[in-house]
Amino acid sequence: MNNELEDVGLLDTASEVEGLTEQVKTPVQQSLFQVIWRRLRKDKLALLGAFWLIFVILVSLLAPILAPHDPLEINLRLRLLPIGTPGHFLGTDDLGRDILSRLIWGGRISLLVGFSAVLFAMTAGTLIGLLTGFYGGWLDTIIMRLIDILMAFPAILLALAIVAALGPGLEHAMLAVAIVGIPYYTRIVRGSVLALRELEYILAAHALGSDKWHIIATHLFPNSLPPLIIAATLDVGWMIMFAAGLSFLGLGAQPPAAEWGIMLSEGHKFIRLAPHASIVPGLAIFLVVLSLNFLGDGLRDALDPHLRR
Amino acid sequence: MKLRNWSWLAILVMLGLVVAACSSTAASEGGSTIVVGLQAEPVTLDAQQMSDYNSTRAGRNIFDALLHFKDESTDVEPALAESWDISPDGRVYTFHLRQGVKFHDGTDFNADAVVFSYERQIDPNHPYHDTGEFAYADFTFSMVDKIEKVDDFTVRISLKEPFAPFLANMAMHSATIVSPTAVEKYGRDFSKNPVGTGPFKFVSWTPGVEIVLEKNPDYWGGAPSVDKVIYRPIIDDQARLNELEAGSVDFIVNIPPDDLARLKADTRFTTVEQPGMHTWYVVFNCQKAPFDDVRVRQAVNYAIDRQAIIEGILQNTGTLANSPLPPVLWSYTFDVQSYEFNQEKAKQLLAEAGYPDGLSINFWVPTSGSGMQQPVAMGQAIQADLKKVGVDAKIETFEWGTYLDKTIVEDAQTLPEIFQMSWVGDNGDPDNFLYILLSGDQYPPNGFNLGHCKDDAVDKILREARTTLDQAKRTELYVQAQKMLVEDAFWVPIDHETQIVVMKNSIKNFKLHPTGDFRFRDVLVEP
Repeated sequence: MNNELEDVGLLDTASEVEGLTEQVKTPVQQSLFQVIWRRLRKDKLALLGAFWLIFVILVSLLAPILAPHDPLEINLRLRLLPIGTPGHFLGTDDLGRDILSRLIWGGRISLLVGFSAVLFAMTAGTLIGLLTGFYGGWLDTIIMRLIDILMAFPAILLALAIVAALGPGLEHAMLAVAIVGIPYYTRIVRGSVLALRELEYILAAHALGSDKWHIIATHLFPNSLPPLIIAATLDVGWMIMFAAGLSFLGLGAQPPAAEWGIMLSEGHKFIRLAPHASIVPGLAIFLVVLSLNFLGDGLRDALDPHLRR
Repeated sequence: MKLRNWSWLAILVMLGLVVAACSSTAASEGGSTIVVGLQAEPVTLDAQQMSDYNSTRAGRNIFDALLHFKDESTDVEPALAESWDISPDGRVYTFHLRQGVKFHDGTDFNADAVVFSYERQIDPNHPYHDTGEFAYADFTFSMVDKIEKVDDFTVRISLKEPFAPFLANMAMHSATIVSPTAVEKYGRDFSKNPVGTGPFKFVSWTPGVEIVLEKNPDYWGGAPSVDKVIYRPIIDDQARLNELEAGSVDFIVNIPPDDLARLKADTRFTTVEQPGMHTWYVVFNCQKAPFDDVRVRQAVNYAIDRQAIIEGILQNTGTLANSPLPPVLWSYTFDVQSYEFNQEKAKQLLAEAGYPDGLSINFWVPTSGSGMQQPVAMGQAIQADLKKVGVDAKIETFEWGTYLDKTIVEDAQTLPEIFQMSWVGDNGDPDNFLYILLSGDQYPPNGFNLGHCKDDAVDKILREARTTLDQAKRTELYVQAQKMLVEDAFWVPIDHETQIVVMKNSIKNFKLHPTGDFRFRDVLVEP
C-alpha cells in the first residue's frame, strides 16, 4: 500500500547504494519518471494542461503550414474585420492583418521566450545554487547577499532597468526576464543542497574520496531536480506573461512582430470597436499560462513524497 | 480565506463609501468647473519653459504676453501692450504697456517685469537665468539686440536686423510675462508655482493626479465665467475616452480616430474641430548613407501610400501633406512636385541610386507623443510599404521622453536612417516651420532640423525671407523655398492633423486655437 512512498524512498536508498558502488544510475532516474507519469495521469487537470501545451507547441511549429496568411501582411482597407469573416476566421487587426495567422506565429515567440528564459535562469540559478550550497562559507555569504539584492527589487522594475540599459527588443527582453528569474532557482537549489550535503551517503562519498565535482554532478544535482522541475514548469507561464507584459509596454518584441503581448497592446486601443483584437491574444496567453500552472501543480503533487492520495 | 456574511457586508459598505468619495470629486461639484483630460502630465507650468502641448494647454491660461493671438487665428492683437510703434527701418519696437494690471500675487505689472521676463531667458549672467531651461529663447529672441525700460510703462526692444516674425513671436508662450517677485521667491520651483497676469490663477499641482486653476476675478480683460479648470493627465487614449463617457471628465484630447464617429453621433457631447497648424513627417538622416542621396529620399517618398494611412489608420482626421508647410499658413502652395504613390518609380530611383536589390535601414518610432497621432500603427504601415520596394526598415520603439532625448541631438551619427516627428506651429509664421525645421542654421541645439539636412540655396532664401518685412515678397520667397524643399525631399510629409476635442455639450463657446492652446476665458458652462 505504501508503494508510492517506497518508490520515492527508493531514490535515496538507491543513491546511497550508488554512492557506494558508483553504479546503478539509470534505473533510479527511470523510476522517478515512471512515478511521475503514474501519478500525473490520474490528475485530469494536469493532463489537460499537458495536452493543450503539446497542441500549442505543435501548432507553433507548423505555423508556416497552418497560418492562412502572412502574419505581417498589412491591408488598410480590411481593418478590424470581425470574427468569422470569410478568409479571416478570427478577423483582422487595426492594420488589416489576419489575427489567426498572427496568433499562430505569435505562439512561437511566446513559447520560445518562456522556455528559453526559464532554461537560462534555471541553468544559471542551478549552477550558483549548487556551488554556494556545497561550498558555503564566504562564497555563499557574498553570492547570496547579491541574490538577496536581486530579489529585493520588484521584478518588473529590475526588468525595466535591464531593458532600459540594453535598449528595447525581444532578445533583450528575454535576457531581462531570465536574469530576473535567476534568484528563484538559486534559492531552491541551494536549499536542497544544504539539506542534502549533510546526509550520510554524501558523507560516505566524501569518505570514499570522491572528488567534489563528482559529488555535485552525480549526487547533489540529480537529487535537487524534483523541486526544480516543478518550479520551472510553473515559471514558464510566469515568464511568458512577463515577456508579454514587457512587449505590452513597448519594451519587448518590436512591431510588426506577431507576438501575443504586442497583439494585446495594439488591440486594446480598439477594445470597443473590435474587442476580439485584444481578447484573442489575451485568451491565448491565459490558456497557455493556465495549462502550465495545471501541469506544474500536477507535477508538484506527483513529486511530493509526503503527499498520499 | 473565508469571509463571514457580515464581512461581505462591511466590504460592500466600504466600497460604497469609496464610490461616494470619488463621485464627490467628480466633474459636477459646486460652481462651474471644467475637468480636462490631457494626454500626459505637463512638464512645467512656467510658460517661458514650455515646449509641449500638455504644458501649454494647462499653463498658458495663467499668463499673458505683450501681444495676444486673436481667437482662431495667428493675427496679433494688443494684450499687456496696449499699442506699439515700429521704427521705419524695422529695427526698433516700442511697446506701450497696459496700466493698472496686477500679477496674481498682488504685485504690479510694469516695464521692469517685461525686462525681467526677457532678460531672464536670454542673458546667461542674469541672476535668475538658472531658474529654468528656456528651449524657445533662441528662436524667440535671437534677433534681439537690447531690451530697455524707457519709463514704468514703456519698453523699447532693438533688433540686430529687421525681423519679420518679431511681433508674432511676442505673442508666443516664450514671450509671456512672469511675476519677478514670484521668480525671486520660488527660484527653480517657479515652474510648480507659476504667477502671471492671465485669466486663470494657479491653485495646486498634484503630480500624476491633477492641476487646478481658478478664475482671476480681477482679470484686465474681464473675469472668466468658469470658476475652475482642472487638468488631469490620462495617458491611455481609451481610458480617457471612458472617463468622458462615464462623466468624470468634461473635455478630452486625442480621441482615437476609430471612436470619433460614435462620439459625434452621441448627443451628450460636442465635437470641435479645426484644421491644424501641424505636419506629421518622417525625417531622413542626411548625414548617413543611403539618405545622403536625394534619389533614395525621393524613392521613399514615392513608395509610401499616404492616402491609405490617412483613410485607414487616421480615419480622415488629417489631410494629405504635400509640403512641409500646412495649408492653413499663408504662403502655402500646391504648386510643388507631387510624390504620388508609385512603387515602380520608387524601385527605379533606388536602382539608379545603386540599390537595385534594396537595402536595410533602422526606423525609430515613439510609442506616443503630442502631435504624433498613431505613431506605431503608422510606422508599421510605412514599414510594410517600404518592404514592397525592397527597403527593409527595422522598427525600434521608444517612450516619448526618451525618444525626444535621442532624436534632438548634435551628432547625426547617433541617429537611425529614418525616424518620425511632428511639429505644431507656434506663431503662424512660415519661418516657424521652414527655417526652424529645415534650415542648415538650425541643426540641434540651435533649432529642430533633426535630420541635419541642408540646401545652401534654400538657406539663403529662408534667411532673406525672415529679414524681409514686405509680406508679398516674403510669400514669394516661401513659395520658392517650398518648391525646392519638396524636391530636396528632406522629409516624407505624411499628413496635417485636424485638431479635434470632444466635450460635454454643457460647455459652450469653446474655440480651438491654431497653436493648440486651450482658451477657457470666454467659455461658459451651462448648468
